[in-house]
Amino acid sequence: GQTDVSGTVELGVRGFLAGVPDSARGKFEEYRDIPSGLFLEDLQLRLLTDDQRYSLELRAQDAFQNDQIFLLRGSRLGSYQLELNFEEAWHTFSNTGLSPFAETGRGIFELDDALQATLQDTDAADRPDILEGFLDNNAVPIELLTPRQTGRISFKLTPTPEWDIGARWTNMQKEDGRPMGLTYGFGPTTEITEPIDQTINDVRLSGGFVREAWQLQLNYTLSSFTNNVDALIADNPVRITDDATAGPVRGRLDLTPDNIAHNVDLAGAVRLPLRSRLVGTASYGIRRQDEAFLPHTINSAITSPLLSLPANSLDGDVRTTLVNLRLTSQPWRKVSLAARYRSYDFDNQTPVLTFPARVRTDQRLIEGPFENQQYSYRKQNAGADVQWRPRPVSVKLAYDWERWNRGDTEREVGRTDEHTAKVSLDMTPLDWLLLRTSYAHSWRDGTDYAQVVDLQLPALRKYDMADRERDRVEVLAQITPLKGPTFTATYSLRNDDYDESLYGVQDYESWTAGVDVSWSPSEAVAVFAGYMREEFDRRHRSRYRRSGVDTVANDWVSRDQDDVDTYGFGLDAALIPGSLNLYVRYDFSLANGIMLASNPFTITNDSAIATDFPEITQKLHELEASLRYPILDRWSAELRYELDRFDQEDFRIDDIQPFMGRTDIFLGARTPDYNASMLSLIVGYHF
Amino acid sequence: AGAQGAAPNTYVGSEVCQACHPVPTATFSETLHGKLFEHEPRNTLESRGCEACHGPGSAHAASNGEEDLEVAFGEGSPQPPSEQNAVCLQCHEKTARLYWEGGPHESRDLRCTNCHTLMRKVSEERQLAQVNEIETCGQCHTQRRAQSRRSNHMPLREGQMKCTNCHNPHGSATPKLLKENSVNEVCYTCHAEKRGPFLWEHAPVVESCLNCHDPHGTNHEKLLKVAKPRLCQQCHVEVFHPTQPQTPESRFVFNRSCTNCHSQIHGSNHPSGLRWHR
Repeated sequence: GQTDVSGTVELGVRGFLAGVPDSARGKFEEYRDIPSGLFLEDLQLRLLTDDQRYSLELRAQDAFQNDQIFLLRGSRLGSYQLELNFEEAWHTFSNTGLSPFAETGRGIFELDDALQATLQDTDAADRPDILEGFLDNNAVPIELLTPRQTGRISFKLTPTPEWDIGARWTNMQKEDGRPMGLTYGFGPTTEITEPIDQTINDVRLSGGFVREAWQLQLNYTLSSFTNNVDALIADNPVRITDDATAGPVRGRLDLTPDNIAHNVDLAGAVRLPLRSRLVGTASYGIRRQDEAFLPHTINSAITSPLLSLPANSLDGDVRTTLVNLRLTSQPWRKVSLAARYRSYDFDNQTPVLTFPARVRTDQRLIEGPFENQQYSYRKQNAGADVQWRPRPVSVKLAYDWERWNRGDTEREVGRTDEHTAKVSLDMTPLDWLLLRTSYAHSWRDGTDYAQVVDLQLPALRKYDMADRERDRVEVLAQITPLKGPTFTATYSLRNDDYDESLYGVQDYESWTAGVDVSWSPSEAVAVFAGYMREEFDRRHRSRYRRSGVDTVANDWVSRDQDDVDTYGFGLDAALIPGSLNLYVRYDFSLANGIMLASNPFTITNDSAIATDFPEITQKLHELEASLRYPILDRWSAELRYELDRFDQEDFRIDDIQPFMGRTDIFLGARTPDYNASMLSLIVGYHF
Repeated sequence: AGAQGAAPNTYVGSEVCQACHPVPTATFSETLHGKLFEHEPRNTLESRGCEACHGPGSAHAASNGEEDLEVAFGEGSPQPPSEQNAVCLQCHEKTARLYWEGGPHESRDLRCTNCHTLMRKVSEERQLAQVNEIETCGQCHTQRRAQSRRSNHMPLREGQMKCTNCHNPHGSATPKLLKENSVNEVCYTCHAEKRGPFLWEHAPVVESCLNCHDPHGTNHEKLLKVAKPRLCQQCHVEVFHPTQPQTPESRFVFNRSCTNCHSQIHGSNHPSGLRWHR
């Protein structure tokens, strides 16, 4: 038979009215590629047999750019589908990176020997000036980005409506590098580019069979991670010879090891009397990691029989088991019941190795013994709820329980229990009004908190295990009149109290409130506007401590508050119906973060002085406005204006340079402000 | 439904529907369901076209639309959401919808049509009610949509990620509708380098990435929930520098803060990596 061919080609040309300096392109193009000049925005080609049974589809978005996406899909309607995807995504960290290190081999970063020799032979007080002069002349621009390429092949087969069979292979490649710190003790710290050459391969096989009263699904997943760079080696700027106390010529850091994971799960559901249904999943996973250990140190001056390794590799072995059951029932038309149980067991069977000694930052031998702690835990959840639905009201009462078993020797609390009571009330009192509300109160018991690290302040309560009372409120109101705008208002509140925590997080309160309005006064016009306010307020208490100095007088309290306002506006209007179309989208996010700190008492040590940090602010504007007009029968033209503006004040990175005093070397990776405006003309051909 | 005593409601075929509803039947025929029902029905139900979902239409047709359809969808429907959804679940209560019943969306009376539009093609994929997933989910999850507009975000608005990369909105065996068996297993699908197991583990990292990160977007680098160094200082009250409140100029604060030195904070396989320096 014949084949229908249809598609779209949209080719554009972009110019920058206000350009982005190279230094700012890192943030501007953090996850995208915005080239000037020609670009192929959209390419679609569809082949469809005249009986509509077979189709072949090709889609390309931003083709030949760093963020290109391709899809090729062939299918027989209702029977099978084969899909090939390719996606490229570059994560750019910064465009201001400067480094004096030369990468002489993959993952090996060297400095000029003369610098190292000079600094080693110079008094400590005079070293910074020498290093500053060196960095001024020798730090050269480097790229700080991680391109990611993902290819995927998937096949779905539905031989009959009862069967679903699927197979998928995903290959993800990550390359280049990202900033990483490397220290040589409390002396110099350097920042270099972590070499990235990583591959993830995932294979997923699935099969499912369904009958009216029951169904079964079986899935298997294999995930393999390969890192082609095992170690990072970088020169120590202040040493040209290894020394057992002063430090090494170079430091060596172990990069993330290869690993592999398997998971198989069986899931099913069965219909039961009283309009009941039981659904469950049983899943078992294995994770292995057995990459050869590096030696304790690259510092040739540190030798000791204590540094012999107890094993050549970790033989890391984690087993995960999930059991999940849910029973739902509707014994009466307006009453629903549900009960659930879930257990996720993370069983770390990795051997515990005893290291007689270790070398801290390639600088100093520290005698042990040291044993690796392998954390295991089991998280169980159970709950039940009853829901009564006398329309237009729906009320649900629920109780949930969560238990973490962590093991007494590895973490501070062997067992925590959290209970949650929740009530939800949804109603539609009028055809045009929907209200969804819920309130939940939780209380977590982390008694028997026991210190597991000798140096830790005994009165500290870590927030993930401490006693906690939590209140949560959520409200959504939606007004949808038959004619006129739709209003959606949301409010949520979360209040966490850690009343039993003398130290650590004391309380955490957050709330959000927002309103959206959308309106289509006619088929030709759609308008949207929205605003969201978010506030996060956290307080924690700590104490400055050192040998012989451990007094409540050196306590300090930090209050960290983040406020975020987000504004959005959209308009899609046919200025000339069927012809000229206007599209506008504007988003503005304004975030302020403050870290306030104070000492409640008169301190006894200057190091305990608590001061406020400067405010951190981020403003991001994004505006897109376009006019689209059909020219001729199959052609269209679009004129698009885009404005992107980013303003940030962050005292931690705004002025970062390779030289920041002392003998540290940083990359100077900043994310400068930008103010870009672009004008594009896009011509489309539709066939 | 037909009035008591009236002739039984019977199937009349989509051609009858088309006579009065030419626009929706035309737009429906361009959708995947429309094509399947019209050209490749696999069973009796699918072969009924419009009536596969709306039920037999003879009474509705005979009364010139005065008599309601057996099933209507959307806001104004006399049928409760569960009855509307039951129509879809006749065919779709399998694969990803296994955990729909009793799940958070079902129990809040969401209709399939809150998120999906069957009668016309609005989105490129999955017949969504809005042009993409973040807009569809953002109809109710307005905070998540706002988070995606922050400067520190996952690449959702760039089109390189979708809500369904991590969540199954139809229900799952994991809280928060996550697609994998735990929070970390979701994150490992792209960040498999963090999976380990490592020789030196960092316990809160092993338990949940969410102890430190909010993947929906934050105003801190690396999607951290709290700015460094305060993030780390919430739990580290040992001695010396972790316990020092620090000043803005401190090398323990600027640039990468704590991870200037503790760069392997997600776990280290180095024999001397006990403190995650190596």
